[in-house]
Amino acid sequence: MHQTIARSLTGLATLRVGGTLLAVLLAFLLARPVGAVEESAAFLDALRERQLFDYAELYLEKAKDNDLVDDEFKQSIPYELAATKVAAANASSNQGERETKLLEAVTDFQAFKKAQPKHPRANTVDLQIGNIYVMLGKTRVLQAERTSDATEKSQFRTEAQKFFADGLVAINQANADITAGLKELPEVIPPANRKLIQRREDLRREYLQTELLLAAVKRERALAFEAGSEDFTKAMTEASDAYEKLFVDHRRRLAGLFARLQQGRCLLDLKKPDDAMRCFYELIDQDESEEAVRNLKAQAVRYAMEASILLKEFNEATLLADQIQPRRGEGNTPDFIAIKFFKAKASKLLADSLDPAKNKAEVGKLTSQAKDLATDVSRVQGEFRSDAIKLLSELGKQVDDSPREPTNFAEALARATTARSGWLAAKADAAQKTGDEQTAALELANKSRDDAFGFYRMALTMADDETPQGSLNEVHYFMCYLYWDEQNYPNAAILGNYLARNFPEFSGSKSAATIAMASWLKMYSEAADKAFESEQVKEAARFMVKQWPNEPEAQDAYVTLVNFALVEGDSDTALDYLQQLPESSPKRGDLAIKLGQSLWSNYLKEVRKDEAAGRLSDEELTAMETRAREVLESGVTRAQSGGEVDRTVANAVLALAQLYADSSQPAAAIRWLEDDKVGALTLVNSDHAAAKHEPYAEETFKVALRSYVSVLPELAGEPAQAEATTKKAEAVMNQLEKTFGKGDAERLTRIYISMGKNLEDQMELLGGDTAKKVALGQAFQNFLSRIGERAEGNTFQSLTWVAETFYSLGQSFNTPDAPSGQAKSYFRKAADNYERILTRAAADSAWAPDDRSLMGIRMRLANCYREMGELDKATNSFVEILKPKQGNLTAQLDAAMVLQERGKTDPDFYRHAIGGFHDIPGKPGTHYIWGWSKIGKLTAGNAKFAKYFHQAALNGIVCRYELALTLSGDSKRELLDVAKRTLENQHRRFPEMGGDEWKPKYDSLLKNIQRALGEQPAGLKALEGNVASN
Amino acid sequence: MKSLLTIAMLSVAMLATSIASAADVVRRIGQSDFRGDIVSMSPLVVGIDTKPVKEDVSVGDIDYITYDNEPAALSNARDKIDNGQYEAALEQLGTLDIGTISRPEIVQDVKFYYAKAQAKMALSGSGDVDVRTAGRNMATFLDPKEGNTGSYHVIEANLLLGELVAAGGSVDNAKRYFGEAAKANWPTGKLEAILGLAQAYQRANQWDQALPLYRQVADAAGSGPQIERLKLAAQLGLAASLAGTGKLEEGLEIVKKVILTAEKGDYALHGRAYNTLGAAYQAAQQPKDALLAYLHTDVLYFQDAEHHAESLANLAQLWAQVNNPQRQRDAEARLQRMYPKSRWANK
Repeated sequence: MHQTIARSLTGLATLRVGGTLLAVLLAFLLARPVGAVEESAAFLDALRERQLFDYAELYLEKAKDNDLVDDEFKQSIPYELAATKVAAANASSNQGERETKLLEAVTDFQAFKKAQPKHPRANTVDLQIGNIYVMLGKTRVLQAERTSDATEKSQFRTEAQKFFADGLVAINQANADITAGLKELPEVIPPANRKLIQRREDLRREYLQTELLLAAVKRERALAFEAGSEDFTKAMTEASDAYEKLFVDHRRRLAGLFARLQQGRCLLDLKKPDDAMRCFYELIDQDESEEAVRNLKAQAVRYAMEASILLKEFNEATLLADQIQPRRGEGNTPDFIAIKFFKAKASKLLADSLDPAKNKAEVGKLTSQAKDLATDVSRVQGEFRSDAIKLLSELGKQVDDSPREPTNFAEALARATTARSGWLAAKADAAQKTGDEQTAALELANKSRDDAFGFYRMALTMADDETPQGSLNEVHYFMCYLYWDEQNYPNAAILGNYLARNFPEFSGSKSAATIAMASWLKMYSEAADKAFESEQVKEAARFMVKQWPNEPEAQDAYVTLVNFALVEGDSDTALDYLQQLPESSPKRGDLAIKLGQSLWSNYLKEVRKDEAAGRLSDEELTAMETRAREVLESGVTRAQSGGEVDRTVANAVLALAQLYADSSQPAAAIRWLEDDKVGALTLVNSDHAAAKHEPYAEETFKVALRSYVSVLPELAGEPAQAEATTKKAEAVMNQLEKTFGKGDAERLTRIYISMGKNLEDQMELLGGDTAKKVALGQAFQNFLSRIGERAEGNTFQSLTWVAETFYSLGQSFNTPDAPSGQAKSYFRKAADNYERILTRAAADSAWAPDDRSLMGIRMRLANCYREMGELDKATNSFVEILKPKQGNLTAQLDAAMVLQERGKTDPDFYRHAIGGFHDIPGKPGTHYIWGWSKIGKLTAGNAKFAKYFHQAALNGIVCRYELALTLSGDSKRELLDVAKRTLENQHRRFPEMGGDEWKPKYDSLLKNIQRALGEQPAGLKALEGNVASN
Repeated sequence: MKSLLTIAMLSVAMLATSIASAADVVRRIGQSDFRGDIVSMSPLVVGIDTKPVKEDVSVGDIDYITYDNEPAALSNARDKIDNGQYEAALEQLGTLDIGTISRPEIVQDVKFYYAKAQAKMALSGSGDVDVRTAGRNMATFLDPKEGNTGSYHVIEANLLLGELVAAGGSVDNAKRYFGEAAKANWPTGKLEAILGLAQAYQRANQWDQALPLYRQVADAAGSGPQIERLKLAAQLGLAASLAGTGKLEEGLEIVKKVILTAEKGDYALHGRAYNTLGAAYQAAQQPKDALLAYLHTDVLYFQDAEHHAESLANLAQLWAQVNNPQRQRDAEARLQRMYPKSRWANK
């Protein structure tokens, strides 16, 4: 018999239990066929062995076109790629990354088998897949064991079952293929045909090994169920039956004995110790001269002792221990430690079962034996240490269970790992609790975290030249993570950065880099002066996108870089990073939308610049506009492709509608407003969740109303459609009123006023396209008149909108020198409507929201007069406005400007503009309209009013200069000197001269004064030397 | 490296020697030995009286010579050098007091093997001696005042000295010594000298000077394993020079042919070939391809110290280039640990 066993030793000599069994079986089954090992294969193996997985993959990719690689190897490239992924996954400590790679490998293996079913390695594909599923299943079982959350535990177990089931399907398929291969062989093979005989031997061996593997996976699957449950019993019975069949079929081979041992273990799990004992005795009776058989026997003794204790046959259990004696060096191996422990336990239980009065000596002997054995076991780290300590305690011997201080790196790391697990568990626990219980759990978590820190630091001090770099990296990684949890962001950032830059291929480095970047972001958000932190965030992100451009972690980095570039107004850089972001990235849509909006905003800024201020050429502006629209549309399209309409999609669609409306493409805007699925108006009207955030509805109504009216000129030949569109516009107005008119009238007013401004912007963007401007103006006029003149339904706000929009139209057609006829006409209509509002408000005090609103109307009316050149009416209006309250700075500024403009026809008004106008009765020397001088004095020294201060100062000098020009001789010169000195004085006091906004204006004015004085028009330059010399 | 079979045969032959023990023996490459009395010796020819016939043997045909009653330490040292155990060879030679040796040929051998062991270690960077020191020692051996000018090792000594000074950065001096070595009147000797000089030029990036010399060796007439090996090495040099002058594709084609032609087990040639491939890709700014090439030497053909050190040095540089500092440090650390004196470690 032993000769037979010896023959079957191949591939099974080192079999052990559990996961090792699977690994050993698979290693034999998946070994590359002998004879196929070429240089390419050896190189690939060496790369994998060195964990250079990325370069193993690169080599395989390039091998397709490599003349140095033979065709046979080339055919196996897809297989090797998948196998490389498995190897990389096994080397990874990152759970998510590991699973992703393993599942990718499954797909790759399947594709390989499908493409090359006759390839010599095709028959191992299913085993590879089975192996992967089993690994994943075992991971889930471990996760289930580690979590205290019942729902999570159940979920992990369910997932484990699924993986094991898939694993069994794959291995069964491999088994079926092997069986089919055997069937293809002739029943009788001539002895001379050695190749075929060898083939049959190989297939038979592989068949047996897959059968063993199937039984092993069945046992693993059973263990994934809750012990004792119906499912557990059913699955474990199935595993037991599978092993029994293997034993029956191969009882004379080592594989058969192995199966018997495993069957015994299954029966033990099923709480059938009697049946299990029968299995174990089959092995205990074996001669142990063969090493492999001895190994099995040792295990059999161990499990038999466990079964005997279950059967309360304690004496039998102690006797079983004598069935095998440890050889030199075997005493502390797991099997012999287990045997020692069970003997100790059985001795104690046997002693307990005896009557101490009658068996004092025996009891003493057994107890002493139990103590000695348990003490031995308690000194060895392993499965039975804590049980041994417990047993010793029961025996009355106290053992210091507190773990001793680590004496080397490995021990310190182990303690740190334990503390970290405790920290995670306590955190999870805290999340489930509230109040004091939560506080206690959090305290425990913090204590565990501190312990983990301590042991990690200790580990670092104990590291030496022999300490693997991977272990040091592990320590640094977890410290980085703990620092992050502790909100010690500087340390987290530094450690994360260190790991990422020095050990980028370490599996935790991507996470470490992410922590570093996130830490800098935290510090950025908390910093007052953000320059340093900003640079660090960008540096961390730039490193990530350079190092791992295609990894998920880099996506966050790209997002960060795009956002920072946007904050800094660097759209080109933002676009550059956006384009580098992988096409498949789900973040691309959001970013494109943000960037598109930013690009559009930049375009608007540029288009509004004066030509003198260096506005871009028309071609460049068109390119800017196109780019903004394209980026935004690409973002919307991408966001839409997600299927669901979320807030991002809704925002982007609205942005696009605004973009088209602003650029006078109302039909396109309407398309984005009315789209059946994602249209902004559609979403608002259907009360869609994605459109409920502020100020979505408001902005939608605004752009809709403007677009409906703006599109009317395009519908000139289609009256019915034009009417329908006008009704849509009215409907939107009504919706606006309905939505915002109740309770927040001021808001509705603001909305209407901003709509007027939007129209003004839209008109401005039309630039010199007068025809379009006129048509658009006409369309609005028609609509506004229709609204303004309707008999019912008009409110303070709607009439305000009508007036404001006319006012905006007037501004759009206004010219710098004198208002055009068109502009005057619109200002007239605006004034009419403002007057109507005031009249109605005077008649019905409850009609207007409040006095403040009416004040705004009066000021607008005064400005209408001013725009129309009716300056006396404007002056009077401002006097009326200022009579009750002179501190209305806006009115004072506008009023002073009116007086200044009146100076053109009556120079005396330049003096009023400077010194004030319309005396306040009873207060000599005071005026309702302050004039520039008083405005300047009251706003000087207040940064908040700097703009008004410079407006007043500059215009005061302008008035002096203009007035001087109306004079002659010494009076003229004298006044010009005054103007010049005033400006020089201003320059001495405020060398910055109001910055970019005001300085060029001062400069231009000074040049004019210098010219008028016959001096060199050097402008402010002439003064800058003075300042320096002062 | 000699095959196991050759080593076994040598052992048998040495056993026979010790039994006969009373004769000089000229071991010839691939031919039967001559046994007798060495009666004349020059850098080109060794005369042995085999009684009754006197044979003149070209040095190019000689593997090595053992002398009647030579010290055991010399025999051992010769074996060690043959097996690449240079440090052990130096230990053996260090036990000898040449003042006590009367036969000049034996003294010359002791001095030469001492200088050769040092030279090999210095060239591979595996010992304490640098190339300059080793070069000085070899130059001393060749100094006429030392009385070794008649040694049959003179050609090999010049070849080694050429390599040492080239490694030390002096192409002109290398040219002088390879020129001396080229006085060999057997084909492989001449070709080795030309190849050595070509490699010296290549090392100094003087591609234009290197190219015609490599072509000369690659296109040389003659056959046989020794010559074929030299031709393959020349082709690799040719490939590197072509790549160095921008003719990457042409260079790559040649290297690939060499790799496909090289015998399995010829680790040194494979190592050199993959290093050449790596250098060509480096020149073409294809760092990942270069990495894969050098990795071949690192993980498969690391047996030749010089080539392995070269691959490690280039791997360190390339890993840095592709932003992989850990691998860079790993390659640098291995280079420093394994070949601390190598010119690659001290670049």
